[in-house]
Amino acid sequence: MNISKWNTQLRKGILEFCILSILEKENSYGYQIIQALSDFTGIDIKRGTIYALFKRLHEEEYIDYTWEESRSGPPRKIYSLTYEGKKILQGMKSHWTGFLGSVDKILKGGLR
Amino acid sequence: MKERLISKDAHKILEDYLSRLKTKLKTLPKSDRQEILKEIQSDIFTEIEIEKRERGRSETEILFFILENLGKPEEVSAEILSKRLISFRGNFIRRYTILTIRNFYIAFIGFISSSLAFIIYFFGFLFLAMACFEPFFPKNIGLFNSEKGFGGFGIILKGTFIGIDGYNPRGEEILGFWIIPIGIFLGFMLIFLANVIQIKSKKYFNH
Repeated sequence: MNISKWNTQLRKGILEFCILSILEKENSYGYQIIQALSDFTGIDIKRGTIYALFKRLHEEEYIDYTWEESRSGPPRKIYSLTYEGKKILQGMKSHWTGFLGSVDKILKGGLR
Repeated sequence: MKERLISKDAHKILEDYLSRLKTKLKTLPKSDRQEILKEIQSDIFTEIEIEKRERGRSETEILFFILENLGKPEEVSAEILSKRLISFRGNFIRRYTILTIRNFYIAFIGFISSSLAFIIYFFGFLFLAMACFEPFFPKNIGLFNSEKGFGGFGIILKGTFIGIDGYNPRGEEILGFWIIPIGIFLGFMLIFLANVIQIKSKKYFNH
């Protein structure tokens, strides 16, 4: 295992969680979400991955979208969180907090 | 409308990328494919506009950066196709019918491409074998003539002809030891071709 591979895997695993969290705050279109995730994307995680995740989250009915006209260019695909999406995001959040807590405990205490 | 949004050069680069992606996504239902391409294109236009306004970079420069970050069309399509669930809705019977048709189509195309690859491998190995065994059985291996013209290209094994058969009665073998370089060349070419077919078809069904 090398560190950059581990880092990529780790970040990939929480991308969906991040996308849902972004949409919880505000309905957004792809470019805005990609910008918000720009710390994640780049050499290791390509933007294509994010589009694939949009599609999957939509198929699983966690997110929905509408096409909205924009003043300056072509229509934008605006994503929003569905009721199912909100529910799963709540679940993810509580797992996330628990997960951080237990990892932190291990990091600090080891076997004790 | 698109032409007015970005320059001709940038437009050409973008069109080229999107058309390559479109080809790679051909196993997706048409409406899904169009939506994804439309979305990617819309986000790209937005980004170009913002970057141009805020940083004053050129359109092609921004576009290259975006496309690099998106990933190669085959990478993007692989991600999209691998993350795809059964994306059609409707009742069970309808979904199951579509699933069956799709899988039958995949099996059919797979069968055709595998059979084709198998035949090509067979001849590839045969031609290599012809080159290898030529020194030992020069009269039974090679290109044969006949009174009516082409008499066959292959190996006569205990009276049975293996290869591309021609008119009977078969006459003399005419290539001689030339069959060694020709057999090696054709053999490797066909094996290469069969490998290409196999790899391409595997990529086509990588979801």
